[in-house]
Amino acid sequence: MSLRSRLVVWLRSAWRPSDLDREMDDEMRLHIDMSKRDLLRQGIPPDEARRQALAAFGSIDAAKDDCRDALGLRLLTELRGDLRYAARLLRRSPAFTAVAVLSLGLGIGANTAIFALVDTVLLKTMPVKEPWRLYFVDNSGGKSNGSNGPPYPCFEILRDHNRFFSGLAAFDGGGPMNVTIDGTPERVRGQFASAAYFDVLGVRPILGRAFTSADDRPSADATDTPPAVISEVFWERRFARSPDILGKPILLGRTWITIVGVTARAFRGLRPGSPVDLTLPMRVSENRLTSKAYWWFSVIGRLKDGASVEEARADLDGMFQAYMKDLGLKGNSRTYFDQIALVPAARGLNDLRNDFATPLWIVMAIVGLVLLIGCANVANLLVARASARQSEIAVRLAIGAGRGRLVRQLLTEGALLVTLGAGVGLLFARWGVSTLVRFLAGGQGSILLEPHFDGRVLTFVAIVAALTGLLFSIVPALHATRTDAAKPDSVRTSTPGRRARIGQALVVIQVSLSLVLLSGAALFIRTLQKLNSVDAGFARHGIATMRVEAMLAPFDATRDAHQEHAQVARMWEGLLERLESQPGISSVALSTMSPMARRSRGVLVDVVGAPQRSESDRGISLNHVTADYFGTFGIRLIEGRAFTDRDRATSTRVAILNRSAARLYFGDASPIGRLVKFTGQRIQDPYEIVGVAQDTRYGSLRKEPERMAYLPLSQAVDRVSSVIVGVRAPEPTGVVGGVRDAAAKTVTGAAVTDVITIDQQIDDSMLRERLVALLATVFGGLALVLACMGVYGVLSYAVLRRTREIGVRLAIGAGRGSVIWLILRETVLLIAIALVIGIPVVLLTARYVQAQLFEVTPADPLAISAAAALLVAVGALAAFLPARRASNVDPMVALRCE
Amino acid sequence: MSDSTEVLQGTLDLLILKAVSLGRLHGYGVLLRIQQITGDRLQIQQGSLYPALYRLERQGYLTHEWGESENGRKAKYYRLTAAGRRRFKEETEYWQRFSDAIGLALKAVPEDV
Repeated sequence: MSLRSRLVVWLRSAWRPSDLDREMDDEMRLHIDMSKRDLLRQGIPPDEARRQALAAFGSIDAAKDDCRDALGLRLLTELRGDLRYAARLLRRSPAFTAVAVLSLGLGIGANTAIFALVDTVLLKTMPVKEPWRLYFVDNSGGKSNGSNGPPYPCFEILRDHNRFFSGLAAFDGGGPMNVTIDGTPERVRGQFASAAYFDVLGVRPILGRAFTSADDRPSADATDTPPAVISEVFWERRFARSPDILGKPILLGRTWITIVGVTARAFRGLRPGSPVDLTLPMRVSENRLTSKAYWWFSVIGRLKDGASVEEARADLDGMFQAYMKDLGLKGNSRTYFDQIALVPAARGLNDLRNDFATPLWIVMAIVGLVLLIGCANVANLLVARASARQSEIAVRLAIGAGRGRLVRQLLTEGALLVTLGAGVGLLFARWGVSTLVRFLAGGQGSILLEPHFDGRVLTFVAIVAALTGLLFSIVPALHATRTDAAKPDSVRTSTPGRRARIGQALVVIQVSLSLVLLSGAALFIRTLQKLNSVDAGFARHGIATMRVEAMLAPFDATRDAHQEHAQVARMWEGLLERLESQPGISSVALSTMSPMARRSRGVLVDVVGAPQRSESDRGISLNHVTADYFGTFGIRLIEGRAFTDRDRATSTRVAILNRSAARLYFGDASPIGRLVKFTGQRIQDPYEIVGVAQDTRYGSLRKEPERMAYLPLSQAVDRVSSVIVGVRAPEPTGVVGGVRDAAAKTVTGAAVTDVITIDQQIDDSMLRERLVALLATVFGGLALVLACMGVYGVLSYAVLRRTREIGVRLAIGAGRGSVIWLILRETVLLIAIALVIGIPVVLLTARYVQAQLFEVTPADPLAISAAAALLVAVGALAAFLPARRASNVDPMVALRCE
Repeated sequence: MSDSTEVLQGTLDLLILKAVSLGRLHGYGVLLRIQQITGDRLQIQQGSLYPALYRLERQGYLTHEWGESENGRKAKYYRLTAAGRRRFKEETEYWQRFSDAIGLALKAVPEDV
């Protein structure tokens, strides 16, 4: 009984102090009444009996206090008192409270929002069973992020013969898939996975079934359709959680598949930021499974209990090396796919982590600084208020209040403020997170994140709030209680100097931190500017691109490549002719690659009649284009000619190199008329170089241009099954309907996807830079505002403190201007000190963001001086109001006020 | 009251335990009982009785129930818990050993040394 009932007593008395009070009251009154009754019986007159009974008992209030102590409630009672007192103080000065709570709320909110993002992208483990036992099986020796699994036949060997994994599963990266549901075409994010996928991860379906081992093999029964497992999110969005979807057939390309199960909300694939809604068994893409040297998916395995990573790796590597030896592969692919490495998979594939780790940590540091600046603001306000309360505190100390007790009370005020701030911060954070999520989801690369305000985020908020509260209230609390109790009157003359110095120090800290943030923002903005003005080698505006996919007949190795490729090319030319005659299109071209589309086709090239170069030098990107490609994308020809309509399947095979390729293979000599061959391709004919095009950046504006060879689409070395339509038009996105119509009429099984303008693609490619620049600017601005509030506060106080002095000056004939300067001088001095401290800090810290910059040095003088100038200007503005107030002081009033 | 003695620090708890061990009591009853069993020779600070009762209850040695006083008013009655009984026994033994030792010490004469 004892512990629990004791706790009950304590809690009850803690929660319901008035009940406890009434109980004690009843008990003690009864005592006194009985005592009085006994005294009456002894013959003592009523008044005297009452007096004696009360006297014998002593102070009831003191007894009650002691009782509360005895129950261990004293701290609580005091806390309650402190809180009530603090709340009253805050209510009494709404302006102070609003500024403090807002400063803290913005700081805490920013930190919470960014932390939620950092947690989702960088820290969280996958919502699967024992994620730390999962490893990616990478056959490029860990040179990639773990996503390079071995070819499927090799995977089958590893899956069936390994000794240290309880299961191995293969899956592909996943991406958009075109499916038809109930006759409506839709785009869903899908992936292929081997049968063991869900078992290895320990993900159970909430409806229906996951895959079984039978799903790895094609079914003998031709009417049996492959199963599909969908995500709960998709189930909800598309099927309104209908339980009838089990057994529902959907059409993927030409294949019917059947929904057999739904997996729970938490799990949406192994690639953070790219949630998967539809998982299909590997056998759906059968032809890729039999290819012995086709590297196209990832492998994940669950390590057995007690198995070491190294023995598991060695076991797999043995089998992998044997497989590769049998394959007899030479050259590039062998040097790249050289050995098995096990990459920890607890947090999923790390492409997003790699891309965003540095930017996110930078932003985290930025919001940390913003919070510090906000803290300094609140500390400053508290110091000012503590000074105002100095007399009160001196009196309280004098009548015997403990310093610890007073500090506790001031800390309670801080705690109350920070709690309010954290509450406001959570609101800001919710808004901020949803804005950021929308921003990241906006681009073509669509990073879809679902950060939650779960226990982890709330814990973070609690810790940040506690630290913040302690930080901003400890200095003022200690400062305030250093008052001399013996001389309550002395405080008015002795401490303003110290108080002013603390305030000034805090403002210097604020301004120098703001300088760091503003310089950072300036650096990121300059980076964005430089990227926007970099010569990408192609025109950026007025061009739309879209992908048109054809459904070609199954590949037949016995057909002649020349004929087949020419036939396919004629189909594409049909599309081009139709597009050229459409109104509203100034220029149109088809190509297999387009600027910024981030897809590339690498081949090996050899110059006929020249000694063979090293493997890495032979590598070149290959782009098949129609005649108007260079005109449409604004790519200049440096030498020779562009392709024309006369470059046909039957005419001389011709090629154009870009400048980088021409320079590497031919130096300063002209390449025109020389012959090149694409070794290892189906078409081995030599191509005659007829022109040199300027370099263009593909994929990223940051990367140096790659070597590239252009071939006419009609002379393609590949069977071109999909092209990018590039359209230059006054209304680039207005032509999509026309392209769809033309494609439907000329291309077999045409599907038009990925409609996007070049401008948009460039924006997407700079997503990280834009994110960092945007956040750095927003938070830099916030820091500026907070620092200005600090400057304003300190100077207002200075004016107040020096009212008398100013009065005297004015009385003996000082001009208004000189008084304004008197006050402004202080600001200028403070900001100057802050800059002296801040600039070296900027120079030191900017080095850490160097990798995020582009053609801007971390010590960019323009960025730093712009930031400093902004600070000085805005700081002076903040100082001007108090300064003008000073100049309006009435000498008589000022002199009387002492 | 000139011959009454102040209660020694820490012995009030023992006296309360003793008083309550003889039957359940309300606060005033505890006071009367102590006065009764000590032959009125100890001076009890009445106000200090209650913090001691609360402390003993918090420590789990006492528990309380509400009942009616002799004059028909609602009163809080204290009684010993099992832990209280054990505690009372230990305290009693301790006190006896302690007072024996002090008694012995005070009886010492030069010849004994």
